[in-house]
Amino acid sequence: MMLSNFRKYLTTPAKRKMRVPVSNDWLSLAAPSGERNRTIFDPTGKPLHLKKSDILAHGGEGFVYKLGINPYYLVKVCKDDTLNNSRKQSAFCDRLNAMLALEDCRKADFLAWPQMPVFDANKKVIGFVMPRANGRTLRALYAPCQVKRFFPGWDRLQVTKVALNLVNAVQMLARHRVLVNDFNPDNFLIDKQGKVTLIDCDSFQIPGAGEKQNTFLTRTFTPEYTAPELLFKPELFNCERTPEQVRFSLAVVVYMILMSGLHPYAQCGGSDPVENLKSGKCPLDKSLGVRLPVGWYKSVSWLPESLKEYFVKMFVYGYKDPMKRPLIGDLKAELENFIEIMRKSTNKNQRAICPEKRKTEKK
Amino acid sequence: MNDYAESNNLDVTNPAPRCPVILLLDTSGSMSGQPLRELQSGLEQFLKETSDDETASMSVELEIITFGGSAEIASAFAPVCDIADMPPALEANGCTPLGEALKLADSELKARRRLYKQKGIASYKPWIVLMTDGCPNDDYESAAASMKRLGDEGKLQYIGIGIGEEADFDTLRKILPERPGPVKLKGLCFKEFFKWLTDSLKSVSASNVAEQDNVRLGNVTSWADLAGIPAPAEEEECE
Repeated sequence: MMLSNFRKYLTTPAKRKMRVPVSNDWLSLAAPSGERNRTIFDPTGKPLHLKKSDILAHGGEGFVYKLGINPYYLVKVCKDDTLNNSRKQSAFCDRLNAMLALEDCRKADFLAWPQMPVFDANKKVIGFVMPRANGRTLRALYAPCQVKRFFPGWDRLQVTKVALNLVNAVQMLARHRVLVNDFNPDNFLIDKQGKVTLIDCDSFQIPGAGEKQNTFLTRTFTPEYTAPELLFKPELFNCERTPEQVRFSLAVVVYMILMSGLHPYAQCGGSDPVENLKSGKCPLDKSLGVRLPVGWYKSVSWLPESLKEYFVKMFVYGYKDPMKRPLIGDLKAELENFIEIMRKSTNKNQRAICPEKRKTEKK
Repeated sequence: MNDYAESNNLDVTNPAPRCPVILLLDTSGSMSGQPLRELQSGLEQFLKETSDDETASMSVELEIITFGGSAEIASAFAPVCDIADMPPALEANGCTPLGEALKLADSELKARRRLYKQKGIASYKPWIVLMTDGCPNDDYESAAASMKRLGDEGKLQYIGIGIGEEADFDTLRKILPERPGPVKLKGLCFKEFFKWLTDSLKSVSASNVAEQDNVRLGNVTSWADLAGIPAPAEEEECE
């Protein structure tokens, strides 16, 4: 027996009996979370049994359960905080009804959109059923090593197709006056075929049903993908989001997909993405006196000039003036053009996730 | 090794902020048998689950230091997915040179943070996870001071876990910052602990660096023995 072990046996029994609780920091992490088994009811009154062990996720607003009887669907149940507050519960019901009324969204296979409400034993709406989406979050494309690990064999052509699919999805929603508020990469799932599914749809801005109902707002956002006017004037979160703000956020995400996670305002000697964004200095405009982080020019050099111009219009001219932000349709056309260029090119760098620097063509 | 990493295992093509994590694992002779098997199994599960998560795998950079007989770097700082491809095999052996291990961890952490600064890579608050079942038999107090101070200043997430009835909580109290203080592992629930650690690191990695302190960590009841740990000894001290 080692000396240190021998010492253990010198501990007196009396000392062992005296015990003190662990710190409040640990005790606070042991508080009940509200997770539990539940029996809920579908609109026909049929009971559905949800198991605590089937909880997949829980956010600020509810718990997401697997639906034991059908693996293609999930159930989101509101937290007690919402259900026990009549104002919150009523707001939840109104929003859910407005979402259920948008039939095109309900049928779209790229949205985890609510399909039907679920009820408690008192016939009170407590949540909804939605399709289960599969795939990796967008973060799987946010570094070259991530692409290689989670999507082996993919090159820039595949990731650009993902970007195009995302643009198409956001554009379709915008046509229905549904605005994506939170461009958190965890809200977009990509499967092995490059299909994008938008989850957490109840964080979207939903138009009211009919003229009497106001737009349903949400305050959720992820700062590094958020239009600068919202970051500088947080009171704007109480107002409706605008299509221009969505265009900005979408362009940030698309740029990051194409550039393996590099933020459009990332700069040599810069700080974290939010501070860089707040600086307003995008290194794509050389006149601003900031440079891309070391090594990243190689990736930028293979983007078509017209696509770079699109990003300059968005991130430089559209930074302070939302009306100068180019349309989603223009971004779509640029991505389609880029895909065509990559398809036709015989230069392997054109498609590479980490290309060599492009040689400047002699005029 | 990651194709994009430099010789120091730092992948400069990964733009994500990094979360450096050091696991300080007691592999002294008293850990031999089932405790070590459970620890190894929990560690492998942690490596697999963390590297399989697209959020944590971008940010978590791990180093594993063992202390059993001597303090050694079992896996040098690297992206967690690289270590998951070749997890270290833990072996129980010798006494408990915790002071030596703390000194090593302190210098490794400083070097890694210097490297992030040189390369302009943003980083989260580092995490130190210390797991021990006994009492150190070297000078640990001076070695512990630097990391304890960082923990007290809120610049380090420092978690100290006592394993089994013989874990020396008096020493842990001296080593660790006041918050959150030591906690005891429930039985040999290493897997449950490492699952919690994976979830915690996922949450941190998904957060904004400036808001990492607002991240709410998960419930600990599956692995933490919250009923109490031995009361502080008044005069008694491990030599």
